[in-house]
Amino acid sequence: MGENKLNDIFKYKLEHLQTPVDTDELWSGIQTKQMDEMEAAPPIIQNNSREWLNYLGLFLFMIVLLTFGWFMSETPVLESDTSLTVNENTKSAPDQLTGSYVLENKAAYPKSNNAIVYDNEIDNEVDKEVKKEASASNVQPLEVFSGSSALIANNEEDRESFTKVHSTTNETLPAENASIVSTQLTSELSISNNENSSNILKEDLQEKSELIERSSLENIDLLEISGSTPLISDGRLKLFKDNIECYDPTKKKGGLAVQVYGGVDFVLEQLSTQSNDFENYLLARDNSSSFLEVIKGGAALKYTFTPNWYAKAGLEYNKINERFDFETQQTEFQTLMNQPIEIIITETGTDTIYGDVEVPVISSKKWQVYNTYHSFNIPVVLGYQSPLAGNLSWFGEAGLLYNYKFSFEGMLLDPQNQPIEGENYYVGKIGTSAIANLGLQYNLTKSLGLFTNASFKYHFNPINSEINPIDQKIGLLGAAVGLEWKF
Amino acid sequence: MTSIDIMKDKLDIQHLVQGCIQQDQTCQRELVNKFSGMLYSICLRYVGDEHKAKDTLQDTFIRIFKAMHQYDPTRGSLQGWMRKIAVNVCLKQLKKDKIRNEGPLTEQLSDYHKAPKIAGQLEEADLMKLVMTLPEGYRQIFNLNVIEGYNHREIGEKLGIGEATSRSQLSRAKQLLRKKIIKLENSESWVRIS
Repeated sequence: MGENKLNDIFKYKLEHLQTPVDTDELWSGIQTKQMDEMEAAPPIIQNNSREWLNYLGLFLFMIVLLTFGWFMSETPVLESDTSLTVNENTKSAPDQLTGSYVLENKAAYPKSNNAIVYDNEIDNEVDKEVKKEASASNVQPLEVFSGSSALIANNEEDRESFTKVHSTTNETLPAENASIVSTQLTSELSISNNENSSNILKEDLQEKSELIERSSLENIDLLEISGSTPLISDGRLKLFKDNIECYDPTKKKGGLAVQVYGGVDFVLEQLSTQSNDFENYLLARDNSSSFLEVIKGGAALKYTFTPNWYAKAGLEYNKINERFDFETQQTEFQTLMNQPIEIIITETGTDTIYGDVEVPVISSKKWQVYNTYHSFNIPVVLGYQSPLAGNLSWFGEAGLLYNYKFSFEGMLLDPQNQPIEGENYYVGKIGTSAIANLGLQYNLTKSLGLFTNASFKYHFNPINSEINPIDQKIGLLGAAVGLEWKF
Repeated sequence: MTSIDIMKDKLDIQHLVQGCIQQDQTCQRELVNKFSGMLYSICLRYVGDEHKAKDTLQDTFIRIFKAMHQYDPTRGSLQGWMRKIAVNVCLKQLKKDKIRNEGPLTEQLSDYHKAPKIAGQLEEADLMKLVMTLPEGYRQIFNLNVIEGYNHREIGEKLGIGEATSRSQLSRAKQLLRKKIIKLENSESWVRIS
């Protein structure tokens, strides 16, 4: 009786042996253990609620971003103390009115962002005339910027006097063209920067002065004297535009833009196992796989709510290509005919018995599998951008990446180190991940920009399913280029 | 078993699998009734202790219920899939208990290259008892190699030992089994394996 025979006996008799067991006791024990596990480990319902919390978190994050954006868009930005703005609606202003204007100090009136404001050093000569007239007519000159002046009437009498002065000194400053006051249509105040100066109400101006009327255009926040010619000449306007930074109050600071981009990533993989039983398997898996190219592409909607801050959300697709190399060994039995299998030693001598012998033949098979991971993500980021030089600016972004769908195609080793289709070994959704980008943008035109960035993504949750004993976490380090189109 | 019976059995298993995926306790209970005998034998063979084997069997079924949605009928039978899970749970349990006994046997085994004549006549229960009495390390390797059909490389990777260790331990396990069978045999004639 050979060794194989002994093996066969055990295999044949024990492989499918059924040993009776008390199933009631077994079932009771299973239920008790299941209850204990549910108390000890997060139950399925908690997983669902955690997923629901992710959605809630994203929603709240968006609400915070939008609220922040709305708040910032309501607050005008003071770019610098010396920056000056000019209302585009003054294009048709005449040369005759150089010096007859009201200045507004942005620093003092950050809410009044719709005024004609400019450096009038070039009009010093006219200013002098204006100040002289103001002095004669008991109005207060208002120093706003260096070399700038404005005429403010302290009271109704003064205003009347002021208009009279202007109406009588119209050689350099025609009275009928004499004032230019502006605030937003909704603003009650036009100018006030000291205690002595009084506010000029538009309605008041309209009522008290026959010379003044509101501009007929709703969007033009300019009060002109009736019958006036344009306040600023084309040449003067060009001077403003060449030398000062323009701010157009009819346009919002914020804006929408669409981005499309594509790029490549490098996978940073982290394998771990919580069980010592699978350390060898982990090693086998780790040695078997290597990541090849990872491509990505996406589109995003960008909302800029201040010149520097913006929020972005979109849809991104990642495709990770992996190569899986491993070798399996198979044992097959070949039957060799008429081989000596037993030598029986007796008192009379030896007796050799011949027969068929099964010989194990070990064959190996090399597997080279190309696996693919697909993931569809929703990135939501908050970004900061700042100009560098000319049309070039830099930006930094950070936020969350919510994985909408994750899938795996290909083969890998199962815990018994056998090649299997790996689809079931991965989750359908990864959950929330962190994302950060740092890049440069070059504005090709007013509405089209080209950008490139370096990006980092880290998935907080492993991509493997529960059946997979190896926790597989991945991070992606990559670069992308894209186009931005502003609305 | 007729082809109708086979078909009916397949449909029953499909029904059980679907029910277990949906956490249907009736189906889970039915699965326990149907396969507990087979899986209990595996647990007994590996764990070697009835009480621990029952405990491990419970863990096995819990693991099966959890992973039932992963079962793919096109890749093999449900029994085969459950057997693999049972073996893994047993090995995990044994490692946890740290009750290995891989040390050299004090007893001289080199003379026990005898093929006991009565081995073929022993009942399954007797063979099971013999396997259960093997030291832990021997028992695992014997079960994995002889019953489950894993080769030494696979066993080495599974248990975290070298192939040579696996071979030598299997050899010792077999020698020990022979010795135990011979004690049962109570026969004076013997043969030496060539």
